Amino acid sequence: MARRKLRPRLIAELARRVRALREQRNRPRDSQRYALDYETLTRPYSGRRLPVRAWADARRESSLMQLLSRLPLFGLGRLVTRKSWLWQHDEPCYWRLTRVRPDYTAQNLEHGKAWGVLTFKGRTESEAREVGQVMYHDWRLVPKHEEAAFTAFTPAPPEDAPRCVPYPPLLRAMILAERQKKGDACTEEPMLSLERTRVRPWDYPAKREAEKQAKTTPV
Amino acid sequence: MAAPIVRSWFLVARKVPLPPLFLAGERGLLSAAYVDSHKWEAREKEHCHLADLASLMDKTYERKLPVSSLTISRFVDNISSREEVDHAEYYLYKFRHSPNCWYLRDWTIHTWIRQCLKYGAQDKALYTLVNKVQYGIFPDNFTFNLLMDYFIKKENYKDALTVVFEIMMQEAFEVPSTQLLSFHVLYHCLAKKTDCRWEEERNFGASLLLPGLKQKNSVGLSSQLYGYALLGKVELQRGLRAVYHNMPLLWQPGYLDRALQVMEMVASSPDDRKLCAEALAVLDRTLKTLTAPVPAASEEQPQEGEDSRGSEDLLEQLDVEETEQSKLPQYLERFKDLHSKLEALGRVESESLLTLTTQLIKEQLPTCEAEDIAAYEQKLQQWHLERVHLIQREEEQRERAKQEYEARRAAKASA
Repeated sequence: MARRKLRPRLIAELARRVRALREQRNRPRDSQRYALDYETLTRPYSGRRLPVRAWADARRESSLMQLLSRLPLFGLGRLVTRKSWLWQHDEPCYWRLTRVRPDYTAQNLEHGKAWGVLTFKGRTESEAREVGQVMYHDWRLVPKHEEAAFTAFTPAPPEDAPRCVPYPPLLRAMILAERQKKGDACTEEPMLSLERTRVRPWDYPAKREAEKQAKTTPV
Repeated sequence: MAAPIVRSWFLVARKVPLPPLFLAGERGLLSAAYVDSHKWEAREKEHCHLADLASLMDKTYERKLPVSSLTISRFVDNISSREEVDHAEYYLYKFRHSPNCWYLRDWTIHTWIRQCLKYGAQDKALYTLVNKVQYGIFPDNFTFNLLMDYFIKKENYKDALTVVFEIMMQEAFEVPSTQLLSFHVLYHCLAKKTDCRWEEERNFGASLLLPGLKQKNSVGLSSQLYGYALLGKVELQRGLRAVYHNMPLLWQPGYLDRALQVMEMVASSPDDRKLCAEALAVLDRTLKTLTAPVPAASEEQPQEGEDSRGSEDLLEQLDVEETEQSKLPQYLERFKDLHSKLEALGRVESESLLTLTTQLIKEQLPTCEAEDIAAYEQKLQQWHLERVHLIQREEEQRERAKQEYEARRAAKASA
């Protein structure tokens, strides 16, 4: 049975667009979403309480924009670290800020977004990207007179351990037999590589999803 | 009949143009050429009506559109009375809470401070400076020097001290003239004060330390020592977090250790730099107060302090093998050794820090001032060029908007 062509529902389409526009215009700003009640440690917007391990930090430390609102030009070019990195790693881990966009609806300008170049455990990235977890009460500002001492890092010398090692005799025989079966006329000694796969530490800042979506090419 | 009136008018008129710089008893540290505002007055500014600008800004804010930094800079440029200073303060607050808050220009901030000082609103200038988070006032070194000198002239050392603490919070001790002026204010206030609250001690310590690190002479080294001593005292009495929270200081413990390292550095260095006896006496007193057993009468206070820092510092001190408290006897020993060594080498300066600072100011301030004035003139030029560029861009945008509007109207008319 042939289906009748769907009538174009113009008013529904218009309503959908109006709703999308209103949602965009009245979206909750950072200052509303990330406002924190310090007595009960809940976020008033969602009504959720902070995780238990964050309670001590929320009372003691400050969020990134709370530090930057007190600096000229919102701390462009300054170094910021996280207390969790200071406690976890010995090597210097910091963000060097390249761009800051504070949320102007906040009373004390203590919410917003920031972009910068990450140096994690002494290795600097090549490009700036958005700083993650800006609203966490975990951030510390590196004073200008301490910047040189803080960023000084000598990487560990490369190990002199052997890179490749011959296989044990049984495995070597198995590999050679496999080669003969396949008709592979290679006479090279099979070597087992001992290179470590570089595993990133668990607290390496991940890329923010919004930037990933923005970079997809439209079809 | 008219002649005597005209004569009396002349006599009255002659009294008016007295230069306001040489009122009796007021002497600032900076020379008249530095404080002179003729170059700033002679800058090119657009003459706009403040009421027009105010209504424009109100309309733009109502429509939730961003206000350009040019508008606010024009407003601040054209202030001509004390009430308008208050209006400008309101609009600066609004600008700071608008999308363009990052773009508040240097010249606007400089003009704002100058206008406040011109119309006698120095308390307003100080208020906006202290509440820099709400108003976005982050002056540069030249403006800070002007403000400090104004307060020094009025002998208002309390307000000058507040300015120095603000400079410390912004870590703006780059230029030598600022460092010298701040030293003068700090030592003047320290000479008068006897007991301070711990927050004041911490602020004093940091404001002595930061410029002291930049100056490579006896005053600088003694200031570093003094600063480290005060910070070490706060560290041991109130905990490390009290020292570094919301301050441009490092979170590594051991401020007294760093004080002793300064002494070691001076003792072992070959040049003739000396440490002031005053600073050494302060460090001595601090170590003695901290090692002395706490008297029974005031046990409640240290207990409260300990509770508040106990739970917080427990986490940070878990990794530390020896606490600072246990290292105090060692510090006292080291201090005594180094003190005797310095005296033996003749590296202890017996003059007070205030006299040393005044001497240093007399020697170095003229050269610093000359550099600063040259830099300021260059900056005025730069600001002028930037302003011209911005005005041009605004005109182009307005033209483009008008053309688009015309095109749209024509399209609508023809459709």
